[in-house]
Amino acid sequence: MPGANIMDKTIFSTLLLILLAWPQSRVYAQQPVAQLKSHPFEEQFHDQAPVSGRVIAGVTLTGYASSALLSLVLPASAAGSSICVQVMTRNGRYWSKNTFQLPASISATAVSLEYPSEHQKFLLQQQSDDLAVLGTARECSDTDTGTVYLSSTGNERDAEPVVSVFVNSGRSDTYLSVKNDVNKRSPARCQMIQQGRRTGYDTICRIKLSELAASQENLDIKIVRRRYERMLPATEFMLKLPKLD
Amino acid sequence: MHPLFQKGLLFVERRCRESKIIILIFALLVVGWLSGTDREKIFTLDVSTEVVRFSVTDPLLSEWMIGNARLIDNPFSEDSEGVVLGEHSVLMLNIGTQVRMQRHGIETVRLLLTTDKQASVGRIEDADGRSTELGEWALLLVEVSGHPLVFPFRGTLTAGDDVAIGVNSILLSGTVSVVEQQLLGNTHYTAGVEDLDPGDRIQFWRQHQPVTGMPALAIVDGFIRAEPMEGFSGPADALALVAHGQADFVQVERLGSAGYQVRASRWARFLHDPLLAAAAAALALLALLLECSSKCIEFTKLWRGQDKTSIAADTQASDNKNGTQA
Repeated sequence: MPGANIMDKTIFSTLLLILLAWPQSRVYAQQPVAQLKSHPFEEQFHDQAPVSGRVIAGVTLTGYASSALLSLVLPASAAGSSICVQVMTRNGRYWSKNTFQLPASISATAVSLEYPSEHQKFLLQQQSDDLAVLGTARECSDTDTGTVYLSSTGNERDAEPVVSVFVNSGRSDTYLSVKNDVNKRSPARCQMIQQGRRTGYDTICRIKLSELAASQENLDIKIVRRRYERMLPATEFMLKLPKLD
Repeated sequence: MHPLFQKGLLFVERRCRESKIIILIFALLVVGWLSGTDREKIFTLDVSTEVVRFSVTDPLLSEWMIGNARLIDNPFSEDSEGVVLGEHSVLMLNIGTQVRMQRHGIETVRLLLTTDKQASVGRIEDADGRSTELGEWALLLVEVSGHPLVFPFRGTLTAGDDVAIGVNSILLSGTVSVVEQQLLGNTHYTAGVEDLDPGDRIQFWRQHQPVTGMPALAIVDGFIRAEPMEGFSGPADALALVAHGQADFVQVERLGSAGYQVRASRWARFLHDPLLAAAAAALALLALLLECSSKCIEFTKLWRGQDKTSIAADTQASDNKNGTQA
């Protein structure tokens, strides 16, 4: 029957198309990998939340596609350097701090982290606001340089690109200002997390990338905190931005 | 035994067994329904705390006398003194304003007013009727002197703070209790009381919000009482908070654990709800009666059987006797 033949061909073509399209939607372009430099891999996972944290708990970029569990979004100038990466969950149950060696040349903006965690499943279950990654330009044993790179947890790939700064404010009012912002905007009030446990960090400051000047390579960020009538010391760092399409 | 009587006994026995099962199933279903149906639950929080946070949903309840308070309205101001308000100043809050109230021991009460809406948090009116509109952020430092201050409110509440680095104001002690509505009538009973530990963080939750169907913070009514500085010296004074509200559960965040939820136990209904207690008692009585009746039938059968055997034995003995004589 000619009708049945046409039907069979249509089904076959559709299946072939699905088969061809499926792997392409699942696999991203091959990313360079930052090798783990510090051995053994240092991480902690507690059933009971420990009290820990510093003022800046993480700086991540959401809405940016990445194939790895954790990756860094880097400018080409960072190639070959060492980066200290601290990962922390909002509830404080998971914490890790390790040094990674970047490849000698970075062809892609995103560099995957060689991350041999025993708690991959737990990390994959975390929402984007529940996992803070802080990549600083130094070895973890060295003193802080105040230079921070963007990280990506690969969540919310379709969302608008937003830089999220995770702050352990100690329940104070927190404001973020970009000192070298060409638009000279007033400091923006950060959002305190109201629900659930806030052991690792309690506040998220967001900067929409679309609101920044396209030519911006470095952002000088200042975090201002106020606890009732007392101003707390400001925290400043330089955020190195890659060239994003 | 007469065959007709024997037949009747068998019929009654069979009917009894069938009806016993039906009655038991029916009674179990009734008790299951009584204990399983959802009922109105009112949670009460009674705590001593150093920090309370709530979002205002009814501004009429939140008009507070804050005479002689100091006002700081610029979040970037280095000036920690602020402007002193008039003696009879009244603070009027807007819907959506987030209030964070903090006090250590008998120190000044700090009222931090913020909003996420880029709007005014409220206004302050003095005795002459002059009104001062506040911006997105305001801090009021209230010294409680002479007489206690009471701040009523209606809104979504968070009592205490989860312990972390930099946190120095926490919940000190208290209880959360839940009263549940009885099945009939507008009366309630206490379904449980939980003691709270220092450092706990408490929130009232609704399982399903009417509009979105998602879990959401429940709106509660309450008040905060601040005792005057004179005559009190213990750190436990701080702020006394009492809040009541309908909710599905109370979430307790506790350091060193994954936290837990306070809910009205269904078992409490068997103890406290008169209707359910009566139904459970009736079921137990019914089971007892059915057991007694079945035992009675068994005894009757047994007795009848023994009777029949002894008659047969007597008959045989007399027959044997007659035969010997013959």
